[in-house]
Amino acid sequence: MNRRTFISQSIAGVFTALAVCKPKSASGHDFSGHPESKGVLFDMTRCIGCRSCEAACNREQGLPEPDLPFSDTSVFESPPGGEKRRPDEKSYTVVNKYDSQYASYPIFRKIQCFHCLEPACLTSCFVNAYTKTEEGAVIYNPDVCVGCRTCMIACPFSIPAFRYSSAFEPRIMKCVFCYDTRLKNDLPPACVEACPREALTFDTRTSLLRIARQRIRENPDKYINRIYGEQEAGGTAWLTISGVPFAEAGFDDSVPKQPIINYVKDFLAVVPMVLTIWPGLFAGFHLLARRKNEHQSTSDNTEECPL
Amino acid sequence: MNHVFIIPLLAACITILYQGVPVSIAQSTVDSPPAAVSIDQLTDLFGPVSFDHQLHTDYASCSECHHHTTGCLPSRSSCAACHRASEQAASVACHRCHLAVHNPQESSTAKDSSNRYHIDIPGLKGAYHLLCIDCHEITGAGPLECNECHTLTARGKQFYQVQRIKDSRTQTPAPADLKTN
Repeated sequence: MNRRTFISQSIAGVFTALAVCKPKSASGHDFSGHPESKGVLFDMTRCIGCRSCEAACNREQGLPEPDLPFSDTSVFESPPGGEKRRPDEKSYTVVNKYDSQYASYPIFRKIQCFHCLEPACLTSCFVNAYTKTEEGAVIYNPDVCVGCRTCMIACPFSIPAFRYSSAFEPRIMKCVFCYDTRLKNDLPPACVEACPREALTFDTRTSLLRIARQRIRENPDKYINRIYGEQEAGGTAWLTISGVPFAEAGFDDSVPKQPIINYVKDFLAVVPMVLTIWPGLFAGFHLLARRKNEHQSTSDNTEECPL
Repeated sequence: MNHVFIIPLLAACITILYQGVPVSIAQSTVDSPPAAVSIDQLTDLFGPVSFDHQLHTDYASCSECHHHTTGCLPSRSSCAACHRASEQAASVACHRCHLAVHNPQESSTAKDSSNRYHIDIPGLKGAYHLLCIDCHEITGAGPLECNECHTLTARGKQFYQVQRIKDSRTQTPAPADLKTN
């Protein structure tokens, strides 16, 4: 093999590899979840901030006792300029209060894991501690987790929390859709069952989208025409409808419409190629260069010999 | 609207619905609608609600709570599209349509025509809270806080972790007092 053939073949190999990898990365765009996967619809116009969901979650998941009782509404009064509450190692879900110029009533918003159809936490985890179940839950296995906390950065909703308080049993703390205790047996999660005003509805994601659209269609003055989670981050199992623009209730409008993995798929497709092709390619360059040097030195020698 | 006709219907509805109703209400007829009702079917974390039915019939028309089942035009326009000329239902009891054990999956996946629009019927607990609180808010009358309608039971106090926290709160000043002494 001479140098020209080697280089041309190498370049051809690179393009072949690119061609093979490309369709794989493109096919992921169309994934819209398992057909019968479950979800929860949160109707913000119905929530009155009773915190029953928080209490139910605490009991169901055996979480540490709260600083204040769940009947205490003083938790809604955040300090001026201070941040709203967010899920942490003591609570998988929290309700926050917002005042909006678009509504005469206070807005209450429940936050928890949205259980994305293509979860960024899962794809970012290099030990596969996360699983997206067929039922729709994104569950977490603390036994294999190494505590790198990449998922906390990957999540577009900043949901996973870390149990910093425990030096010997640190782990990620996040809503698991009551998978082991309820969802596996086709039962609604504890928060849904506890909600007195059915602000939370448990059903298949497909049916929830129908229900949400019906509510919006029948009450065009009450709701804004958008279902948060229908497309956000490639679609989420938990959906929200609202009477005010979502940004007014602390929702992130900048969350992209496609799965977070799509932003790194092209890059990740190149990684195995780099690992397999580059060693051979550069070793070949090195050998060719060395051979040329050797050839030159020998030809130099032959020229000097006759003298 | 014929109140003389509708009020007894409401009476009949409530008679069937609530199991813990006094005998006088259970025997109420067309001429004697229930004046007061104890809503105790879902009692668990909260105690029963004593509902002044007479008071509410003075304020609201029957269809505002009973939709089309009383035979009059429902107040919600989306219901009126089909139920414009609905006859009075066999039972106007809330629990007849709003089930105590709520499973939206059954209604949302039903394919027959009568359920085409009934894909989002709230359960009994949801129906009460949505109807009562929304109306109390809109009219500015009636209680809004949880314990104004029903009081927490012992199970409820445990659920909301009320008692334990209050105990620990009252106990916390004690060590500080000891130190100062």
